[in-house]
Amino acid sequence: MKAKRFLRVLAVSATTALTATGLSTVAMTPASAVTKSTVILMSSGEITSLNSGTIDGNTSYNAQVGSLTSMGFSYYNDKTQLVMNTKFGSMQVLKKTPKDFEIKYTIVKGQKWSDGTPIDAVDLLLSHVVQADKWSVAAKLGNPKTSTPKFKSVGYSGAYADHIVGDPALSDNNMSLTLKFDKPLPDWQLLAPGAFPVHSLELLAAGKTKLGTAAANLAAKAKFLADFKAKKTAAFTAMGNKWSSAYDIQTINASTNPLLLISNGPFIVQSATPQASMILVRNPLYTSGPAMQTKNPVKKIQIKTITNDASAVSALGNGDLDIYYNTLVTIAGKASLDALSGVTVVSKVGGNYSHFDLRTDNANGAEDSYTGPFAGNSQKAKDLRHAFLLALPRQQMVATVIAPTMASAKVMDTQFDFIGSPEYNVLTKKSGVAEYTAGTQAARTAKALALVKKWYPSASDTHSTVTVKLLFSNTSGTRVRLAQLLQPEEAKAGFNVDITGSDDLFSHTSDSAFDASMYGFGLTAISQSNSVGVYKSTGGSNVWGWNDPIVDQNATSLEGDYLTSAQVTAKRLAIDKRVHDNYWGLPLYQNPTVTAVRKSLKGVSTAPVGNNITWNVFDWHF
Amino acid sequence: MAAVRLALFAYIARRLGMMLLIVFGASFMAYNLEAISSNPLQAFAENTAKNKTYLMHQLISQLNLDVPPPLRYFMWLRGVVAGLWGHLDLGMTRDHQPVLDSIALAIPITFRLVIASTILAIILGITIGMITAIRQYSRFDYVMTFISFLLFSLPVFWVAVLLKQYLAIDFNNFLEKPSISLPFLIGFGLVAGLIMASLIGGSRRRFYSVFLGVTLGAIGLMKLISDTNWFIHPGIGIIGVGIFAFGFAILVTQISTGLENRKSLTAATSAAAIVTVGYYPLQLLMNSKSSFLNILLVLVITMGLSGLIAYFVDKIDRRTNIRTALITALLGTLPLFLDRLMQEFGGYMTSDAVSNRPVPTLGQVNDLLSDQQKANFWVSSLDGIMHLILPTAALTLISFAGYVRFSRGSLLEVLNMDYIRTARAKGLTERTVIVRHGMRNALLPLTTILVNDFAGVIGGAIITEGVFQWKGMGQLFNQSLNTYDLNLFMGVFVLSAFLTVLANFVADLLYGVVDPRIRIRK
Repeated sequence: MKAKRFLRVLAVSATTALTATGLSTVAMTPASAVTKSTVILMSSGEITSLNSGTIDGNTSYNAQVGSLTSMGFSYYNDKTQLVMNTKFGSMQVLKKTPKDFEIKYTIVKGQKWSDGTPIDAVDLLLSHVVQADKWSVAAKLGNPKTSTPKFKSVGYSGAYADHIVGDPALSDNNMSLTLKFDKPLPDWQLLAPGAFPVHSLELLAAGKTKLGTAAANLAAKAKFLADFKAKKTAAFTAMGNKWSSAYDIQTINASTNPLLLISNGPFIVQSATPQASMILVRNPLYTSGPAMQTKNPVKKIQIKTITNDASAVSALGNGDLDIYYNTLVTIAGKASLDALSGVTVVSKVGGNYSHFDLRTDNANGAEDSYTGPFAGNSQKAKDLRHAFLLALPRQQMVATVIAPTMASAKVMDTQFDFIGSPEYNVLTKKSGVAEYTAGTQAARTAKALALVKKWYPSASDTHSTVTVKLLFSNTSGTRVRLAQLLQPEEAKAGFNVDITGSDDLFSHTSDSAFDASMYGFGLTAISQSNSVGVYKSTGGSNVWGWNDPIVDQNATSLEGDYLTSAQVTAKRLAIDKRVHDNYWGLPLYQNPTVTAVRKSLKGVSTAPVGNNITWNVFDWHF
Repeated sequence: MAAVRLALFAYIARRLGMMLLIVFGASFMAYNLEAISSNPLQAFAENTAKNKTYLMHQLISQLNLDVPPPLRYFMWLRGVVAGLWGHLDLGMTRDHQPVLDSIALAIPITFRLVIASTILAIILGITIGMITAIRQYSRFDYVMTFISFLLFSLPVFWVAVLLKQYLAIDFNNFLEKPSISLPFLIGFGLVAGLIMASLIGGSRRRFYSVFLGVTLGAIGLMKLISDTNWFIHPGIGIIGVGIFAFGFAILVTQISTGLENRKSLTAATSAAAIVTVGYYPLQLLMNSKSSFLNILLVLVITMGLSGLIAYFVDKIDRRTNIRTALITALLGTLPLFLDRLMQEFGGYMTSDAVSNRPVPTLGQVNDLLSDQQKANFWVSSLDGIMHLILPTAALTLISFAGYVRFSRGSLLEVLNMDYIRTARAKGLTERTVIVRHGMRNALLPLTTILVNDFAGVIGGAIITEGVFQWKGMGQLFNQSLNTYDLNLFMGVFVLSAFLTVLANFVADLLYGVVDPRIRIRK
């Protein structure tokens, strides 16, 4: 009985406490309306550095910040066109002979960095320092090919380094810069130097922690020019150390060295909380690109790191996020986005695509030799490859896995251009890929079985005779689903596909353990040499042992020659034809990019390549 | 005596030596397993960059990938051993941050997330567990057993999704026009009535009368809340604080000395009176310029005055009276702080950073708050609490079931002991039997669980941190696996391994302290 009494008192006091929560102080005005001027963007990975040009850290997430704080000669728009930014400067080809190619870059006068220092062509010189292997060697900063250079840049050993001649020359009162290359280069517009506040780098190297005075900034810039001309090793070593690591900061606040935050973009970094968020505010001195909207403008941008997709969707639903962006959206994710109200969901093809390839020989540099069913160029190997590709149910794969996230999804038929472009239509009509799209899959699979039967008469849709090991990332749900879809269809053609896959894609792309592979490639720019490295026998991405002299010849030309667009199409077509004659592989689809934007925010439209979501931040408004 | 002390010392030294060996062995194995199974070059498989070879070459030399993992382990160990002379170096992450810095940033975040929910789960779990044990096989027991098993079996990410939908998205939508609908009012009342009635129990008639009373009371309360726009301008006010304080006074007295002890009750109610009377004067101390120190100061004032009065209540049982008064004052002051936080709510909610949606679904703070708001202790605390609501609720819900079952079983076992029967036979009050003889002994076996749970706190809650995007230890660990960041992985691993081993050691020592029957043999 006493226990009961004890509990009764407990319960009564608990009730009293509950009742008390209900009593209120008096005040009853409704919440006032808030005029929004802040946009919350998401980043699906941590922002780890303000310098996206270093080899450390994840450059693509860091580049998103860079796209808001720096403007250059050009940018990609949402139609994958390269737009010339005439507010910043212009480029002009001065000389174009087989051995001499000169381009002059001129900066528009009157632009200023966010600290007030005028922008001129001296600010373009750092671009040479971080791209030209020869300059790094000459200034004794280390040979990027054999050691770690003082500027730990992602830019070395590329097309710029291979073809640049001598040092850049300044002219027009330091407002212009002329670069010389050893021959006319395709995609020369993409080689345009980027601007960097070199005076701040000099000040950083000198140990300064505050913005300089106008005079000090000009003096620092002059010193940079002198150091550059004299290739001063000590000065550039100090600057290289700063450039390579000083920008790797995750906490940004009032005590952060402001020299690291200098911008010529529409925004300037104000604060950051490690791994969680970064806040950017308007750069009042911005003139280096299209003017910002003036009516209901965006005054502040917060970039939130949200690594969990479901969390991002619910954050969008709750107003913790304004722009959702995902290049790897799942069917469930798309469905939950569609269920949200107040947001516009857009699916659009992005710069990543998936492809399916067959091994013909061991990969470049692989030690083991490939002896699987597709090895070599015998008629038997060719027939088996042909059959395998015929029985690949690409339409079904796209319809099942991709269409639910993008209704307009189509099978991709060439790796050279985006679906729907004029060139795409020419290439796919003539390359021979039509064989894999014409008719029904049942007819194609029957044709495939006939080819297999030529060599294995006992093969039938119930008796598989050829075992094919398929490489794909078995940690990706989409890839596993695709593999499960193709396995039964290939079985009908007599193939027994082993769909174990692997969680170590990289290691297996350089050995010969698998007969076929399915994975993705990404495009970061639209250039003449796109996908060339995939087909060329010595190409960095050709890991299937493909080797064809006609392909190599055309590939070399696409990589190095200055061609008209008709020539480009002709050469690409020649390669595609050989790809299909050799039965090397087939592209699958372009991955959709899904964006979901709060309806009150206007002007957002993603670009498949380049700065993706933020390319037209100047057009955004509420 | 000296021999015993020496034996104890030797025992501790031996255990510490073992600990180091275990951590060394575990770290060696973990390092090699992770180094062999993960390939930092993975990202290059899908890369078509022209200077891919250069980039790979740089990464290999930077991460020493050309050194076999067992040897690379010792390169890493060199930095750890340097910790002995104060130069601890766990290497750099792949983002170019010192691993130590990353961990130092993550620990407080994890702490904030997990400590609150662990403490809440312990208090709730043990309380409910003990009540169900005292009222074994009652309606309340069955209901709580059902609920705790239900919650125990729910995955946290799913609980999180539900909480986000109902407590964040829907609640924020509701705040746009905060009037409670009739069906919800009735449903809420019925549930509250049912819970209370089964908690109180007793005869059928009593059950129904309590049920009816609480249901009507709850409906009336919610209606009041709805009509006064309480959700937008919440507060408790002096009346609410008073009711809370006197409620706590009765509760604390009942548990510690029993309501029959009038002197204790007087001490406790005086403490409650002090908190209530102090409502207005203490507001002065809790201004916009206050800091954590002001909180302490308020506590010192209320508790000090209460203790002083209790001192003069009676000469007999002075210590007990003071203790009761102090606990009452401490608990009673909490609603005062809550009220102060609520006063900031209206302004917080309508500010640009919050835009009328005060319950966030992710993150640990709102970085968009203005500098002025961040500098205001009450606003920034309120912001922190708003961000804590969902993850704390999720973690508490799924983890308190364990404590409920454990403490229930433990108390039931103790209540069947001979010494409980003896205590009853001696004629002790039921309160004394349960609180002094029962509960204290029932808490003994919980020590192990508690200590280990607190060690586990540092390891973080990987899934919960992921779902709510708290960048704590769990997220750090997850990130290290996703980005093949070996140094980061090892940093988190070694710390968790060390704490786990240490917690076991501490639990063993604590046994000896709390239970005199367990002592180290000579």
